[in-house]
Amino acid sequence: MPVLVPSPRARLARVALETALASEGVAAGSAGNSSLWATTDGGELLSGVLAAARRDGRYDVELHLVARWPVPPLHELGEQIRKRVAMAAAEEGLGDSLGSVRISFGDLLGPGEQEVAER
Amino acid sequence: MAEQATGTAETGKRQGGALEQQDAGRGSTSIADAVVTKVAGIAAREVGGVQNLGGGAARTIGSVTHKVGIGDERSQGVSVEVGEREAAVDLTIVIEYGESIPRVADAVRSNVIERVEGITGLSVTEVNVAVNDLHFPGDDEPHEETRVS
Repeated sequence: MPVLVPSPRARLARVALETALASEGVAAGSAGNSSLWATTDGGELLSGVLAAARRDGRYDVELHLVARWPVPPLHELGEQIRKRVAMAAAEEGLGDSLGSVRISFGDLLGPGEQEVAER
Repeated sequence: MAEQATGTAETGKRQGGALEQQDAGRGSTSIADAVVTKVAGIAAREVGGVQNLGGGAARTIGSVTHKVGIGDERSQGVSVEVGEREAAVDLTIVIEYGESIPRVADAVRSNVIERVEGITGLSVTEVNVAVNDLHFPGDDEPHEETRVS
């Protein structure tokens, strides 16, 4: 059986999503209406993250997130996530592969809302 | 996405129904209008004396859609207009009978401004509050009509 080695793209996507989901104020990733914002990693679908190659060999990462109440200022949260993703990528040896990190908050999970409606 | 830009200046702009803040070279953060709407709705509900949001029809439809899992009560009765840096909010609310309507409306206005500006970074130019109905304690109890005494 061949051993599947995750591509840097998939590894970056996973690192970015896991880092974002570990942040206070983030409830989930959202794959969007047509599951456009998702990445497959080893057969697993990572909802809410998309990584795309650039000409310079780096990968731009898009995170599509659902915020959770009580939510901190979202632009500050986005900046924190961006910094943490850069740190986490560097720890995984992917620092040179990371391009920009674009973060989009598409929905907010209010008080008492337990489940995220898939969009 | 601009990748070659240098410096740390941030700019706000509209992108596909969302407020986007660009941190030059490293990416951007965008907030959908739906998020601003929900923040305003939640902020209004946080104020004591506010029983519900929305007009009569919106509340009826909202309760049905919420029960079947497709509705979102937190956006009910809230309309926002979001620009590059500013937002205007229109709210329709139901107030508990006995509350001072001007006091509750002022408190709603203050809390919505506090929350929306704090969370989204937008400047709220106006919060228009329309009081649509009064709620009485007995309104939620089912009315049992007996045919015989």
